[in-house]
Amino acid sequence: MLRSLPFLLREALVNLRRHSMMTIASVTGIAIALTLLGGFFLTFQQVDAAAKRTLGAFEMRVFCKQDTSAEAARDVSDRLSRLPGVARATFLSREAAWAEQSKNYPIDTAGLPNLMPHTVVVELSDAGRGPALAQTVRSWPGVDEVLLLEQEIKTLLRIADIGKAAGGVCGVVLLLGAIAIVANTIRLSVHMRRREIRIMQIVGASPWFIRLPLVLEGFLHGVAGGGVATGVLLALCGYVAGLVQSALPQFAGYGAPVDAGAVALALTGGGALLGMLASGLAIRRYLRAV
Amino acid sequence: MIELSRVSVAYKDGAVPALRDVTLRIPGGDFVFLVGPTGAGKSTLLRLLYRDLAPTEGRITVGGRDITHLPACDVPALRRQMGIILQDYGLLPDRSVWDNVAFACQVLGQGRREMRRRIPEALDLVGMTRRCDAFPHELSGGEQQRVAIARALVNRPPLLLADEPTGSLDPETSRGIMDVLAEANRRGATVVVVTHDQAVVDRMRRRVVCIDGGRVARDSPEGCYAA
Repeated sequence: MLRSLPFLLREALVNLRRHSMMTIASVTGIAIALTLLGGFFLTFQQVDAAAKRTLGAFEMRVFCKQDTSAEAARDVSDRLSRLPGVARATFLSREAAWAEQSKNYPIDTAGLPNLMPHTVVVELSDAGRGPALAQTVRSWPGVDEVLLLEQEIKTLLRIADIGKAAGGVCGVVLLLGAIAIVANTIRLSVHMRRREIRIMQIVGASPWFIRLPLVLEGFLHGVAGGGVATGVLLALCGYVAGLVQSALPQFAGYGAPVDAGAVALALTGGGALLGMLASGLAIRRYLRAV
Repeated sequence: MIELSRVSVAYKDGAVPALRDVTLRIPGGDFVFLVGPTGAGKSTLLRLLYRDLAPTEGRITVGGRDITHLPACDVPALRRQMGIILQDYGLLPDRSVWDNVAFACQVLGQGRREMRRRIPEALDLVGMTRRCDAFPHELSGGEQQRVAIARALVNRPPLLLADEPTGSLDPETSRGIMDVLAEANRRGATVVVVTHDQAVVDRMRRRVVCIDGGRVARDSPEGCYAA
């Protein structure tokens, strides 16, 4: 087999030219399927990132009782920072809290004495845990009130869950569709060459001798299709990002950055894998012996 | 060399068996014509020899090897021991004459030097040296068949199987093709030819096995097409 390897590799490359129309059809089919699939996953990723960012903007405020000492309030802050779902807990003394209120609401606070208790501002790493956290912290000694937009978080989480489930279903359907497109394109390509396969068998070519160049061709079709899909998707991403930047600048920072290398690797790797699998399976029926 | 012992073949969808209780012995170096009416079972018999079909009953040996129940993985090795010539030539359409012949060498994993020696010999034998760069669609039927024969001969197999090699050729071209097969036989190859071509059979005066209704109806050394 090793002696024939250079010949078989050459065959795979030369066959791309010999069957140029089928090569173009295969690469186009794979590119379309992968562009749709990749586009969907990138959109899903951006929406997911925007949802996380929106939920991350929620913070929890823990107000200590008026008679709680600064020492005890700091203990509450330390305990909070160690809890799962908490990104950061910041202690605000009564004075700091009042200064913040005065800055935010200068008219409402003008001429009033300091009404604020010691406060802990909690940034959540997982907004889903917020309501449970609030429930726990309310029972702690020294804690008077916990402020969290629980209902809003629950509503947003529910919307996000529905979006994820729908996205998952769409993703699976798209993936199956992409596999079907690639498999059918390559099956058609192999079917066009059934006579050639038959002749090779008559001459005494072993199944791997026939299969290897075709699987390599499938691999090359997949890589090329993945490459085209990568180019199209990255160009589209750039275009859409430009549109958002100019038309809706307030949402510009909401999405996740697109990792071009990861996109290229996923699409060309996925294309190569799909191409090889589809070729290998398509050839099988023509290699069935007596 | 080739032995068929009480061989029968029944196709799945056929009410009548394609071959019935056929017993035949072809010694090494023989030149045999398989003749008979259309549907008699000639091509079926040939396909049994290159294991494109398996017998329903009976036993087949080729070159002393029992191929009756040959595993699928061993079929390519069996075919590399023979040259197979088909009526439709079976050339790879996107390859030149040289590449078509070379393919049979590449299947055996031969090196370039070996191929450069063997391919011109084979092309010379069939008179196609000057057209080695042509593609199948640029050749006449007779030329394509010559290339198919060159491909079958290039590895100097001990057995040549030809299914209607002159089926669609004019008498003169047919004569040329048969001369090439006769030359291969003279060099030691066993040749089995399925044909309808009465003129060819009558001119060659070789062993004739007539198949009719799936049975051996006649087996005559140096025979003619008709009884």
